[in-house]
Parts: sequence; C-alpha cells; structure tokens
Amino acid sequence: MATTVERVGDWFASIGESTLQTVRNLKESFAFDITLLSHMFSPKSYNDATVGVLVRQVYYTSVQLLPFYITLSVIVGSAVVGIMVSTAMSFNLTAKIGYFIVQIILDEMAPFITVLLLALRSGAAINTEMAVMKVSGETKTLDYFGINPFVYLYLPRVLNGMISMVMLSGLFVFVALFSGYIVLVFFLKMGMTTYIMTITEAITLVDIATLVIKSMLFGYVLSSIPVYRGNKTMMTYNAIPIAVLQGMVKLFVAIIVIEVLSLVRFV
Amino acid sequence: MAQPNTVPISMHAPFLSNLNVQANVALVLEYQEYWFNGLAQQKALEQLTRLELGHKATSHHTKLTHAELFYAQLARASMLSDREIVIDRPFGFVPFESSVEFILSAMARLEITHERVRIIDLLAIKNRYKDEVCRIEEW
Repeated sequence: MATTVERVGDWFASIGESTLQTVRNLKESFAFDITLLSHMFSPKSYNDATVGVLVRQVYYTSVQLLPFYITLSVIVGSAVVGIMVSTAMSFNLTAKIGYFIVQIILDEMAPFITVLLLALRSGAAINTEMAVMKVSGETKTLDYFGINPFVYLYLPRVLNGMISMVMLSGLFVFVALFSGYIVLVFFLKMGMTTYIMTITEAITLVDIATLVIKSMLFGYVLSSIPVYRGNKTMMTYNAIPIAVLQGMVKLFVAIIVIEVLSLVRFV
Repeated sequence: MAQPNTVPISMHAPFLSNLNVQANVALVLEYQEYWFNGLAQQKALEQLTRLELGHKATSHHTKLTHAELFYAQLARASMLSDREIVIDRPFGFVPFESSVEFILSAMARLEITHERVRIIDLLAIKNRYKDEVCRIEEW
C-alpha cells in the first residue's frame, strides 16, 4: 500500500506530466498555425484547385445559410433594439440610444451570434470531415500525389471562415439596424433620416475596426481548430466523435477568450 | 513539400469522397500542373472515356465497382506523365481476372508505356504474371 509521501509524489508527477503534455500540444498547434499562415501569405498557394475549394466552402457556409441568417438577424436585431430602447427610455437616456445600439449590435452581438451559429453549423462539419478523411486514408492519398493538405484542405477552409465571418457579421449589422429602425418607429416615432443620423454619429472607425478584426479572429479559430483537431484523430472510426467533441470544446473556449479579450478596449 | 516520383494505384489511396470521379482524376493536374479547372476536367473525362468509364465520371467513387475503381485510379495516375506508376496488388481490385492482360490493355488505351509501371504483388499469385512483357523481381 502506497504511503502518503508516495501518493503526494505521484500527484506531483501527474501534474508535471500533464503540464508537459499541454506544452507539447501548444507547441504543435503553434507550429500548425505558423505553417498555415505562411501558406496563406504565399501566392503559390492559390492555384485553381484551392480557389475552387474556397468558392465551394463560401457557398456552403454563407450562401446556403442566408435565408435562415437574415431571419435570425431580423428577430434578434428587433428584439435587442426594442429592449435597449425601452430600458434607455425608462432611465431617461434616449439621447444615448444610437451609442447603445452601435455598441451592442456592431461590437458585440453581430460577431458573437455569427460565430456561435457558424461554429455549430460549419465548425462541427469541418471537424468531422477532416477526421473522416484522416481515418479513411484520403489525407494520405493527397500525400501520395504530392498535394499539400495545408494548401488544398486547410487553407481554403480557414480563409472561408474568415471571409464568411466578416461578410455575415456585416450583414447582421445592416439587417439588425434596419429592423431596429422599425422598432424605434413604434417607440419613439423617429424618422428615417433622424435614425440614420443617430446611428452614423454613434459609429466610429474603432467600432468598424473592432467588428472586422474580431470577426476575422473568430473566423480563423472557427476553422483552424476543427481542422487541427480533425487532423489529429487516431486511425480508428470510433476516434472520430472524440475528435469532434474535443475540437468543439476547444473552439468554444477560444471563442470565449477572444470575446473577453475584445472587452479590454472598454477598460 | 517534396514531390513524390511515383503515384500509387492502391486500395490504400482512395478517392476523395467530397469529389466525384472526374474531379478526383482532374485534381492532380489542377494542383500539380496548374491547369485550369475546365481543362483539367476535360482531360479527366477524356481519360475516363478511353476506359469506358465516361458514364460514371460524375458519380462518386462509392458507385463504382472494384474493377471500375481500379481503372479510374489508373486514369488518375496517368494524368501526371512524368511519374512512375506503382500498382499495389491489382488482383485485390479484380480477383476474378486470371492474368495481367486487363492491366496491359488499360495501359495501352491510356498510352502508358510499360517502363512507367511497377506492380507489387504476392509471390503466391506469380503465375498470373507469366506474360513475357513483365519483368519479375522477387523480394
């Protein structure tokens, strides 16, 4: 039977082991990101095959989603603007309505709701696709034919994540602001010109930059984490759900980290 | 990434399941030789038609029989004219064939020279390669 000293020793050893494993994983994923980014900025990566995959990915991720996404933007946008306007009115802050709407819709809701939706829809799909390709030997086939998976498989998916995130977040802002106007007409009887003036006065370059940068960062993790995790799947079919589960949890953590870090500008 | 000098035909080099047969065959040209998609697809269809697989070009590989899969993989391998083709246990695709003749005739249709092709197989079925065009090396 192990003594207390031995048990404490084992406990410390297990902490050390898991720390070393975490460091190894971080190093590996960092190397993956560096390779991916180097291909992203290399013009040689953009052959017809890669561009074709990118176009198809954008279609599946953004275009197919449009009807549902626009409906969601109308519902969420009008609900949020309605709540903000009624709250602002009850605190006599109607003069600040434009500022509130911009802060909430543009800086926070648009990228956050979009990334959650895309993580559920595309992140999980990419993670599964990569894992299945690895297990079925399709990734190996690419290797045999000298097709770099970073260029043909990973890069288009990551670029698609970034492009789709920026485009869909921008669309969310437009649709939500428009549906917000309809709500404002009911509450404040505000005219269209006054509304446009209120919003444009409240929007700053920092807000637009925040939206674009945050959307791009979300887009990057949205695809790169599922791609990385899928590619790390062990060569058995029952490892696929585990890879998807781990990938989605890591993606969720990354989304929360980016969201929290983006709040630093308010400090 | 280093370019391999050989291209395989093997059960272990499956087609990509998110592309149809024609796109799978065309992919190597698009990626390796920087062909435009349309031209590469046309060339792929041409090669598949030579093997009487034109009607299966837009199907996914799961719709192909094992023999058709072998021919489609040969078409894919033939796209890169400067690479040696390594066929891994061809009778695994077409166990009912008794000789290597089906490979030679498919190679002739695709104008693949004998020097470009190596076949790896088990000694137990050496008699299926007794044709004089094959130079047999035992390992």
